[in-house]
Amino acid sequence: MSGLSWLPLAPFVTSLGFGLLLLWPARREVRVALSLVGTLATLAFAVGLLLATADGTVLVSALGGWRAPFGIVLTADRLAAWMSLLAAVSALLTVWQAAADPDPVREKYHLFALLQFLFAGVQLSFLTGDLFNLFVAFEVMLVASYALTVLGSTREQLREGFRYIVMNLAASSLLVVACGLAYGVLGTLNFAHLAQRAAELGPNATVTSVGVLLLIVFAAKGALFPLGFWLPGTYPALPPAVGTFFAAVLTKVGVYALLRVFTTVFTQEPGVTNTLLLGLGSVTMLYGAFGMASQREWRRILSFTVVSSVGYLAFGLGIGTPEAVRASVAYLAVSVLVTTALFAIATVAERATGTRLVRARGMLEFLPLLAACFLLCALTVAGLPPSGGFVAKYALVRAGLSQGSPLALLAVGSALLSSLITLYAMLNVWRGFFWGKHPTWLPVYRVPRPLHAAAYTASALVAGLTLFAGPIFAQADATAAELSTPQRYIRGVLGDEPVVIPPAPGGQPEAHP
Amino acid sequence: MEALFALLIGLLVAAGVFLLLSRKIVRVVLGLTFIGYAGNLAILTVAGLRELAPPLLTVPGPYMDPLPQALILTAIVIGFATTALLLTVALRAYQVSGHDNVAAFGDSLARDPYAGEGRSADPEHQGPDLPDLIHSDPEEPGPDHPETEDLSPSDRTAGAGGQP
Repeated sequence: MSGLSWLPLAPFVTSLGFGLLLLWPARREVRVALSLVGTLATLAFAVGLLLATADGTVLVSALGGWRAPFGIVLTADRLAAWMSLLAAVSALLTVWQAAADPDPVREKYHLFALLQFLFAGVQLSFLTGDLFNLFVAFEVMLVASYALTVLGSTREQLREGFRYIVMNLAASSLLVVACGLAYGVLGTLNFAHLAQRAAELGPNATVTSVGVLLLIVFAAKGALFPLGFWLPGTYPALPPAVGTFFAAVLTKVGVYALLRVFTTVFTQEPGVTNTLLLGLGSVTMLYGAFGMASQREWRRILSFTVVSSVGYLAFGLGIGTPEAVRASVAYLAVSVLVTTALFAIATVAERATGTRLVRARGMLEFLPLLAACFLLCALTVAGLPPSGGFVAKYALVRAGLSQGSPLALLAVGSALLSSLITLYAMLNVWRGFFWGKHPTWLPVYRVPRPLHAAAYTASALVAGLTLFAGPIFAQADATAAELSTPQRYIRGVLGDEPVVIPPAPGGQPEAHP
Repeated sequence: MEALFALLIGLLVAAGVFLLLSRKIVRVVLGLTFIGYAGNLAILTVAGLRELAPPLLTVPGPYMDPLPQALILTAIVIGFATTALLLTVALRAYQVSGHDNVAAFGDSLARDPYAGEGRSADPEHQGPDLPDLIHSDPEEPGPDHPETEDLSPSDRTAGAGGQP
């Protein structure tokens, strides 16, 4: 275990290092190559993390050699490694798209470097084991995302970017306050130590209110219903490749934080937060589904699918049983990959017709393979049988039914209804874009092959979700088992001996010459 | 002491939220900084307010836990950076749109899907999504889709589409 203690640090440091390297002025080919190499290295380290944590080990790297409750640690358990891997896969497809789609202006202002900084922030958020370091990781991620949102300075980007930045800055201030309150109540910021002390304290109103504060913060980052109003406007305004990563991963960081905090750290009074999550989740999925049905532009529709998927995940977390956590972990994989694939498809579709609207009609004739990919992804989003989405949604619904509280049953109803509306919205896209006869006066543009290839690869991964549903669910099972016994995480981070706080040397300066 | 700080934090948050809800961009930025300072003061208060207790181990006498102060320092640095970034975005927004007013940016969802690219459904919010070519730099292409301009008619294939 000690031999691998550098591994949790590796994905973050790799992305950060390559990001700094990319600031060096170089030709485009060099930058593209560096970006791809950096992202591939991150992916390799993420795979390494997944293999190293497969037997239930909790990898810990103590920064500066300070042991767990005193210094900042980076930790990797099954959940963190899983998220790290998903983010790295999505990152690779994003860099691929950015490489395939030259954008001289944005690249001049360090598009590739900012992408690497964004990946670094995301990886740090997944792998940190410290609440305040989570805030720092969020800020690293968000500062890169603010810059990427407004890079290019179109009017739409500035308007939506400003809204996005203000929303996230307000949420970040709240996160700082929550960190301070957690430290004030429990006297520590390390996740494992927080969990230990919260357990010693037992159910406590102050700790629960800190938990609810954190829930509000992560709900804003993850775009749960009343706080997610910025999302459907912001993501379509972004350049296509960047939008792919934002949609696929950034909201999932908020969901990961919810999962981490409410399964590992604040587990004493789960009723309050679970009720809130169930309620918010069921409203969020309906909001996302109705939003999808109301929009007529490719990436606006897809942005609402992101909102809807966050709703399903919150629903899974809110049920709170190990089966529901297992279904949520599996649905995380489905959601990240299918969102990546759909945004890659939307990029090709928008470029082929030269418009953001889906009303082109008859594109099946020109883009048959893309149509097949879209159909597969649409079925996955809606959760129909031959797709991985069905397996994950079925598991979610079953977990909701077996939990059986009235609110859970209501949420199950809402999940089924919103799946139906999602299917309607997706078929609307199919009817509007692929079906019918193409109007001869509408031009069809040629799209670079690598962009096509990115969409097909992402769709192949979505198909892989069905084929490898077994291994994915085995991983999800193991993760849920680990999350339902937080003692293992605590012991992995803090060691077997109880934490001894050194006696205060107050008033005896001779003790510390 | 704590009561005074609680009142002060409440006042700062109230002022921050009030400013955040206004339409002028600069006031929104100021509101965010107010909320940030309220957060910093909250950490300081929660960690315990004691007189004559510096966070130094090397001097005799009682000392404070130095960690909250480190947290506050980090939060101040990050807040400084994000405020600078937000002000830059605000300045750029002013340059591009010619307004320092959030409402003047318009509402993107008020677009008629059948009215064609860029034409708004709502005459109150005229054309917010058309990039403003007057204000933009000559070296920066304004439109969202610069790639579609470069295509000559020979690229518009009728049969083969984009299919490789």
